[in-house]
Amino acid sequence: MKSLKKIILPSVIIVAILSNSCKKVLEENPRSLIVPSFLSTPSGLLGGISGVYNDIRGQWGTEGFSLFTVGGTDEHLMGASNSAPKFFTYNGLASADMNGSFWNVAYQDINTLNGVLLYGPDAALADSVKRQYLGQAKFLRAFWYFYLVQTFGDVPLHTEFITAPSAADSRQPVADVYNQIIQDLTDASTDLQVSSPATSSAANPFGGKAASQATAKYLLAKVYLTRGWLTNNNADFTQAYNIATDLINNKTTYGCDLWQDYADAFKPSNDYGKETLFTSDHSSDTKYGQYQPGASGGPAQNLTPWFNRWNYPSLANINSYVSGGVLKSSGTSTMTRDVANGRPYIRIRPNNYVWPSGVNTGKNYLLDEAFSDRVNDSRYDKTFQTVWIANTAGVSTQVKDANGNLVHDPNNSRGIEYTITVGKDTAVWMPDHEVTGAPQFNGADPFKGIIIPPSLWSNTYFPAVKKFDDVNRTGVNDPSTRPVVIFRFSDVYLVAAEAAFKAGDVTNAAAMLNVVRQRAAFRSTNSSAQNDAAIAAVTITPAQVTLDFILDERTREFYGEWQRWWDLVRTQSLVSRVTAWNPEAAPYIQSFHVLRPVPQQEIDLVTEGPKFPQNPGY
Amino acid sequence: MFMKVSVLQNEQLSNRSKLLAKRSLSLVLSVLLFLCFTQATSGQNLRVRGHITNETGQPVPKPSVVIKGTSNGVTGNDNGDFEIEAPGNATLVISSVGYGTVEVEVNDRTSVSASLSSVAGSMNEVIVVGYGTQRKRDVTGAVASLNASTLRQVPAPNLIAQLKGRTAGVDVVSNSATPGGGGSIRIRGNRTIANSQGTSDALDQPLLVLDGIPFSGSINDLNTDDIEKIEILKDASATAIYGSRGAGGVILVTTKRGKTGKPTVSYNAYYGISSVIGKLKVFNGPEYAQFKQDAATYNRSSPGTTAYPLTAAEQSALAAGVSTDWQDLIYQNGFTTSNQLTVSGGSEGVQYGLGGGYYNETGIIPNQKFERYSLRGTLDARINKVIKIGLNTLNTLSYSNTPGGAGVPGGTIRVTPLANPYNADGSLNLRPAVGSIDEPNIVSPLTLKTNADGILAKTRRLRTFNSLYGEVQIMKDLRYRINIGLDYRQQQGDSYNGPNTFTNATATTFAQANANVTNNEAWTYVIENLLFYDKTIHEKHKIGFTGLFSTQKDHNQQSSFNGLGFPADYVQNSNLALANSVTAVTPINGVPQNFLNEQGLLSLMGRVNYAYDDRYLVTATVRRDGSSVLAPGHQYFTYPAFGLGWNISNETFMKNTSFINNLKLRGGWGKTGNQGVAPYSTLGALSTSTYNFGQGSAGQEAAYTVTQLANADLHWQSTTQWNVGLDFSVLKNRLSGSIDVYDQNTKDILLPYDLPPSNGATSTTKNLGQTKGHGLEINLSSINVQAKNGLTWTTDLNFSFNREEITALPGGKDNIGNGWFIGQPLTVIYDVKKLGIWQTEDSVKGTLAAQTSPVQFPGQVRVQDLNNDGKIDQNDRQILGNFQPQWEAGFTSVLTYKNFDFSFVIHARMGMKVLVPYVTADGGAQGFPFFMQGRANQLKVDYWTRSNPTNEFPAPDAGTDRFLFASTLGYVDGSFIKCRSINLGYQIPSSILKKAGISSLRVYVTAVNPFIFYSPFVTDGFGPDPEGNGYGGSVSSPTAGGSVGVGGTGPNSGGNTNGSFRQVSVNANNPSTRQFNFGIDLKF
Repeated sequence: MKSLKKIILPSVIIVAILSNSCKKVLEENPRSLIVPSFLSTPSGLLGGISGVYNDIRGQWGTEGFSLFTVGGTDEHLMGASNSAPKFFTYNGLASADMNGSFWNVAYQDINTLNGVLLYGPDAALADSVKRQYLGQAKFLRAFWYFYLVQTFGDVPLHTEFITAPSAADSRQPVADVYNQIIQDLTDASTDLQVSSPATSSAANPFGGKAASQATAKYLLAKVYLTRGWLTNNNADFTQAYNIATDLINNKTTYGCDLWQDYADAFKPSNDYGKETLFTSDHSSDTKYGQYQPGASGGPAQNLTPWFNRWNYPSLANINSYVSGGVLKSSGTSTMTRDVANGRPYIRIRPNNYVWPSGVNTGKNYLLDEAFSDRVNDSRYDKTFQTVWIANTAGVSTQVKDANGNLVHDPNNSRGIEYTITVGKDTAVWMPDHEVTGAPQFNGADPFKGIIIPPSLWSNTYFPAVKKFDDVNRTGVNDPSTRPVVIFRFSDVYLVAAEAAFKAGDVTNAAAMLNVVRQRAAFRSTNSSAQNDAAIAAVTITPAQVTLDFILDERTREFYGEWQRWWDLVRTQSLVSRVTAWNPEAAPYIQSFHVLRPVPQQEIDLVTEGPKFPQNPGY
Repeated sequence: MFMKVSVLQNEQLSNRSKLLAKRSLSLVLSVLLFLCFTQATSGQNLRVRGHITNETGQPVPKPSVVIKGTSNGVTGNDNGDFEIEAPGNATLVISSVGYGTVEVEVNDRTSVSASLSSVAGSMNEVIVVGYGTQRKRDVTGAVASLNASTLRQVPAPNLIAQLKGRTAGVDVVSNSATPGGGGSIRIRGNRTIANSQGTSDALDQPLLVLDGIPFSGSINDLNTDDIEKIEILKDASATAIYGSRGAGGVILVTTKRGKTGKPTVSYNAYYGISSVIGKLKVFNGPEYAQFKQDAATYNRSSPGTTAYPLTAAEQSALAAGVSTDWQDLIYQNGFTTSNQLTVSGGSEGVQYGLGGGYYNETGIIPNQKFERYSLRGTLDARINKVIKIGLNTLNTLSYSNTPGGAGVPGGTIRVTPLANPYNADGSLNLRPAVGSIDEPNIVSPLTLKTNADGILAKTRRLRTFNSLYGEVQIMKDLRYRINIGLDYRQQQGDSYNGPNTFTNATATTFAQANANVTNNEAWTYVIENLLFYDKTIHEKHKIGFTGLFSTQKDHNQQSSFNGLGFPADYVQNSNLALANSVTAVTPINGVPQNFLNEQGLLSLMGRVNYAYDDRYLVTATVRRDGSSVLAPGHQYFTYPAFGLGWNISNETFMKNTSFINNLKLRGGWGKTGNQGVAPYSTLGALSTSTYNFGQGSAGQEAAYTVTQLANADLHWQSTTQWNVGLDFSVLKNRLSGSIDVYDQNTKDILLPYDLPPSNGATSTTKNLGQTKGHGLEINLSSINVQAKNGLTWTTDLNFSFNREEITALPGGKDNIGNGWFIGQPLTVIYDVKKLGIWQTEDSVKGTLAAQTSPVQFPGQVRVQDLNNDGKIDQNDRQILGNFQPQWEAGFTSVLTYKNFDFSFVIHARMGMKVLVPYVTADGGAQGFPFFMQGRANQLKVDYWTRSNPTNEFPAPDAGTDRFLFASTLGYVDGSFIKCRSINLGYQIPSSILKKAGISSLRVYVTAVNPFIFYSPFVTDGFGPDPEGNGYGGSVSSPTAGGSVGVGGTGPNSGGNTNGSFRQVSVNANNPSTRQFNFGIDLKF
């Protein structure tokens, strides 16, 4: 019995100790998590805003979103390796084709911003700093709602942080959404920093052309303009014009201006320059830039330079030829992929389809409409790459037999024999005009590459857009580390022009357009006399201002810059312009396509309350 | 007199010093001992006392003890004790009903003990039931037992592979065929509606308990050679003692321990060769060229053109007659070796067991392997009459290396056959796609072989799983036991992908080489305080009580870092400081890679067993669990259960029905749960990321977004289950078996619930929804032949089916967005239905024109317009099938003749779908990118052309990487009947072995996965093996709310998962292997 006591007593004590520690076992002490109330701290507040910027870069510059913004318009057709055909043809475009990324991210950000606006005022920051931070939140909330309302029409309008999850939701009238956007942007245009510096500092984290008063004003002008179109309300156009011109008149205050040369706006060194109003940022930092060498996708990868690249190594062969009206590649390529020429994705191409009949018989949008003046207006040359210089050494049509004697290459159907000089010989030239007999050579001075005139451009061979090129990448397959410039200052002029035009003031509309056009006439290679002549040639009169002219001007100025689909929707020109110019979408587009379908996921997941309505036609 | 001696001996031991002082007494004792000794050796009768126990140390009541060669014998008492007069050189033959027979030599001892092994399947078999053992006849729940020899009929590195088709109601689905790969086990189906594979596994997989202590983590940590037997608790009346973790069933693993007796040394080993079961049929060179040409011909958006023509290199290869089969070049023979050395033995007071094992399996993909070292020891010691202590320590160290992962075949079959694997100079043709758009995306798969330094995907795992117990016999019938489980797991993941390798094709310079180091530390402690009370009153009333108080705490912490840019391949990830940059890994698909999680569980349990006259049995249990992961105020829940049993054959009215040896009816009801919520789920969370404002470091910021909403009401999910079973044994036990039917209902399901995206947060966890399931399980064992000449033939057959269905959802409506439908199984295929291919005559007849949207053309997939509105859209989706087998069966046959034994195992899983991602495409990473585009090589399918108007696959189209309704092609009948293994063994006669001091030696050969009897998947040419090797991965149908189209590739771009995570898929992953093993079992 003695031994029993010896055992039982300690056991009882052990049990008692364990029981005491029990309560602790059931307590939760998260360490590696960030919980919502963290938004009320200074770093949480900043982090919430940064989170939204990070989501924006998950859209602008990434593939699906980029194609969505230019597909199914007059400007672009599908490249041979297109990845979103329904958005280019509208054939069978349905709610389920909207995978929801854009919608989901927008609402995730809106709720986060509502959280920032709810918890943020408690943050221990100086009032002036806090006001700026909250101004960012308001700007970003308006930013997202503006894209939502333009894309989908009536949308759910949440301005309070959602704490209790709900499976019910409803759509609010467009008018209410616009009121909210205007309210937020009006506040932001006074609360925000006047302008955003190129680089951030400890005192001002919102550098790198984050939102500023200038950005908010520009966007507010555009919002008024867009609402004006919807309601046909002159007051909105006047507002839009006034806000835009106020920004232009005070451009020094806001640190904004146009570069003298259109090409300068796309120089990497000017990415954070005076013409840039708003960016989604990237960098080669693997952590903060989420940079991934060789990445083919990913939320923070800027793949913009690649979508409109054709597979230049595939035809850059000295013996390529035309057979049955089709280009055939033959022989060894004089081009290999390199950093300068970029990674070919072949997703989109400029619309150079020549209409065989109808109002535009014999014309194509790219060369005969938008960029019809390629002499005085420098923007065609500064937008498109049309020449590829050979970069592969040792390519020759001369082959040697077993004895080392030069023999005629059986693949050498064109008969010229020579060896390519890297960096000098042209591999491919895509002139903007027909060259008789091209691809051709001159017997006396053989053109060693291949000439592809517009008649031979196809979904496989076409001029590439060079504005977004990033030559500073290390690997040929690496994504761009340049920021995606979402808003440029030249749009302030075009917004003002469109607003003036709609308000009936064609004089000022022409004046605003001329600012942009005259800048486009400038070429650094011209003499000043030549430039003056070009400026005179591109200057338009008020009588020349039409809606089509404004839309063509927007193509010239913003080709490929994530705007076109919304431009056409805003100006109620989507169906007419697509029918007039886009051969792929013309057979399928219908009037209801001016709104995108609400993602099926949203409709399917609203399981409580009234069914979530879809846009008509889908 | 003997009594006295033994007492004195005890004193002698404990009071040795005193004794030495009393030399005179010692002298007397020596004389006495000498007398005893001389008496004994004279062959005179001794009074021998003994104690007989079963394999778990419990007394065997009323053992029969006979002196060998005589008819003299006695029967022991209920506590297994006996006394017999026997000569000192006699041999005692000890037996009991339901147990085997053992012989014990007296060797002049006066006290002997023996342990009897129960005859498998007999009602005396002692089975582990959780927190104790019971004789099978006393069990009221649905419990299945499998012993080591049964499991070993299928040699495998882990238990999961061994369990396939072995017992009714246990469904094992493989999801990997890489070395050391696993699978999922479902006992009686799924209960939980979930929205990710991880959650589903956390919620529905059974609880694994190893020697009484919950065992979590990798099943590979358990060396199959260490398993003595397993018990599977299937119904709630049996599993309710595990309360909040019992809903998925419980698998109790008992490992081998030392036994009383002279030391035995055993050595078990096998060596095997494995090869792929088959290859995927792909286009050969000329077929590939034709395929590309057809893709241009049928290019819908720009007829006659293609961005993926044969490159110049391919054209010359075609002309030269090159047609490379890359799979042949990659697959190699794998080798397996398994070695296990065990020593065990013990005296009455102390039993020990020591074992060491080494397992090594190399894969059929170069450099893939799984290697495991294991070391274990058990010790059981009786300190004195009342105290017993023990230790079981199980340690494993395993390495697996899976360069290229499971997806090597998928990448390999893409590579053009029109390329020589080697250049003229013998070097590797590094980029076979040279000149094509995919040139940078494809590096020769042969780099897996040639550049072993360049590709590393290693996991090193160390585990030490220790359980200690102390037992105190407080009174005759009252026992206290403390179990302490100390489990520590450490895992390191190492990866490196050098430039110009198969796994890092787009990287061309060392600056782009990437590496990762991931370290995970996890520990669990469990402290269980148990009280047992067992009492028999008036012979007929047997009462047992078990009480438990336990505490468990789990800890899991992980750090993961990526390095980018390394000086050379040989460095691999050995020194991240050599990397150009190092970053901590951000969450992947929302799953954190750096974290610290802890959770705790507090439990109280009581169980009462009552048996009357071995005829009427009652079991009642109640458990109360408290868990930290649930919201305060909702942390506790109580799980009651009852079981009833009736041993009908023990009734007097059955005494005369001699053909029935045993008949027992069982019934039970119980409530169980699961706590499958991640820690901190009740708190809500922000997703974390990063952003840079401008290029300077001052603009680098942490980035947060709200993605998960808090839920302060989370409480327990519970499953209630009824089970009725019948155990029987007839015809002199020649035919025995059991039949069970059950019905279960689960409610308050802890549902990670996808919200309308306009909520902002994409999901939250709520207690929502109800499911039910019911099913039938039959196990039949028969001794078909038991001939005098030594021929025995036995068979075991099991058959089962389970039907699961969702019975209630929030709002009372189907939840299409999450893929949940009331009245349907938990995971279904919801999509438009493929009718065939649009034919040329459809455009003539006008059937094609009747469909206004989308406008389609001959050669494209034709689907059903369910509502006949001329448009194919979301309203035309319908349920097309599910992943729940209609039925499942297993068949084991064992034939023994003299020293030979021969057995085989057959497994059938019938009537469910599998997904085949590599015959679908959505333009993204799901499916098989560029399927039917003529851009990459692919499965050779019967595709449409004007001259081949098939209805199987559409015409290739170079114009799109997401042809219309691609998802509809991937739903395939996954039924199969397979032979799992065939074994042939030979026991070397002991007469030969005795001289070598070997007590037994068996040699055997085994064929694993020798053939497939039936599989429509294989017959239709989809691939070599219908068994799953992954989950999901198929295209979520664009029409079904899938991921095609707009948007970036951000975390939310995946759109709707439609429950695809639980869809069993057969992807172009590592194929399963066929193995031939040669083995020996040696005992000294």
